[in-house]
Amino acid sequence: MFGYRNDFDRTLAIMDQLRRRMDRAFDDVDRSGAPEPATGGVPRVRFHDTGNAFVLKADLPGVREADLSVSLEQDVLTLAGQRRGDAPEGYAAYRQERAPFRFSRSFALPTKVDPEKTSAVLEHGVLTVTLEKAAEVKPRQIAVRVG
Amino acid sequence: MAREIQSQERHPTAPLVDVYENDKEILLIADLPGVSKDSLTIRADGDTLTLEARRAEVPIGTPLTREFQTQDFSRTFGISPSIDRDRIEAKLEGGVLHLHLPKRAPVTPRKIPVRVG
Repeated sequence: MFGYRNDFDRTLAIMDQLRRRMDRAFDDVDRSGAPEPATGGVPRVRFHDTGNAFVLKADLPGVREADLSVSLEQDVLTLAGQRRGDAPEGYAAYRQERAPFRFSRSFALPTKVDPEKTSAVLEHGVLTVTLEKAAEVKPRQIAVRVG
Repeated sequence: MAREIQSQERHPTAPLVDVYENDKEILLIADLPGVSKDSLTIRADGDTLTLEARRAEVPIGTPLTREFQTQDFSRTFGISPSIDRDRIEAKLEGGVLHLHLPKRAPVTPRKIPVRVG
């Protein structure tokens, strides 16, 4: 058993080494515990404008649907929720990079959206919120007639 | 130019992991948001274990914020010879991977009879 532990220590040393190499190679690696950038927060999001709608995507691995709330008030979208700790019972922890967290983030939308035409889907740990723009701000094609 | 952006997005990032151990196994838990079963490859090769995952996310519309890019995942671990490669089990749910690495049954010390020559 003792020999086994040594093997595992060696494993951790290799893991550390790789991790450091990774961190050097990619300066935008997401690291829990590192201070959040002033403009960002948890979760980080991607916001897209498809013309007719805004689409927000947020990485929320391990967040259960029941622990997640998405709300829209006027033109402010709020995401709130938590990820619970998922440490298994009866195990010794060797490495814990994945921390439980709580979050609440609000986003002011650039234009009005139609509250009746919104959807939120959580799939593979990614939340996708689709907000259709209000009719009056949707891009409109203007037919050109020959005068 | 489009190709350059593409190649930037293909730089893999290391997923965050937890590593646990009990008498029977090592349990590795990794955050792999946006990864489906089909885009995940787990390879146990010699004394290394490699996780590789592609995020198949089609860009939509015009990006308004760019807090992060979707990146593929890749991370390699050293594994002890006492891990039974053939019984490794993986479960992927909600963007979280549970990888069970069972230990081989401990080798019982063998008694070597000494004969008088």
